Amino acid sequence: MRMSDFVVREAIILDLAATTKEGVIREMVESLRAAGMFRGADPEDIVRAILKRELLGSTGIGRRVAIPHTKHNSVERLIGTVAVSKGGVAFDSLDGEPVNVFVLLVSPQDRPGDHLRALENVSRCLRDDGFVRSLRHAPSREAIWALLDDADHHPT
Amino acid sequence: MHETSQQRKVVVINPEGFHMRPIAAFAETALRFQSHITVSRANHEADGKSPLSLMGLAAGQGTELLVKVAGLDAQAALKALLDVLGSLSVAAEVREQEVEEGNRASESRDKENGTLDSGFPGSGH
Repeated sequence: MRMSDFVVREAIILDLAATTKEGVIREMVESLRAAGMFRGADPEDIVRAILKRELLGSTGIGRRVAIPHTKHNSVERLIGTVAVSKGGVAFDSLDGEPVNVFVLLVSPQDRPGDHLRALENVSRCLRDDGFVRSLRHAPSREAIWALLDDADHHPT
Repeated sequence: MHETSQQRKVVVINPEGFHMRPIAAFAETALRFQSHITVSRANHEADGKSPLSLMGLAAGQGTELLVKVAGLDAQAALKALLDVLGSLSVAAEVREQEVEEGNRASESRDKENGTLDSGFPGSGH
């Protein structure tokens, strides 16, 4: 479950327009939908599920990163995307800081192992402050993809 | 008060594993205490106060973890952490005589978790 295995490249967002938690989640889900994901499903249902999960506890885990996620029966394999907010978005984070880097995950209903392995890889990348900094200052979507791909092939 | 060091073995019982929600609850609890807190799986040691570090454990159902606490408030910290794991039905303490059995079960579950169709029933998290 490397980042490049599940991140939908076409759905990467270089600089989010949204400035609220709900706005960010909507924008990322819409980006995945526009990239061809969630066919046959109502994307609003996915947004609602992710927001519902946030009510249980913010996925803003500190250090300027958040990992909003949900399970949904519209996906057959785990998918996700990465978005950057240059300005930062308040996300009820554990450390009270705004979030600049978001990794959104949507998993199938019955694959807890895949979800845990994805979290393992995502967390390894996001633990690296240099990696997060590079994402925040990436000049293009392609540059973000290159960073993810490089992190997968050269894990720290 | 004086510095003490305590540890407990726990086994992950939640079908979803030690995933983000219990990880965040565990780290938030750990941050209330002064003691140094780690959670280990085999040779991999994670910082108990860091959700990102704990996610690196990728601890699925059946995984045995060692919770270690060292410091002036170690006893209170360990109790609070075990309470959090218990209240979320995430992990249960392993009695010493169950350790060997747990190791064998955890190995076979790890192999199962390694396949694409783990077949665990979904449940909300």
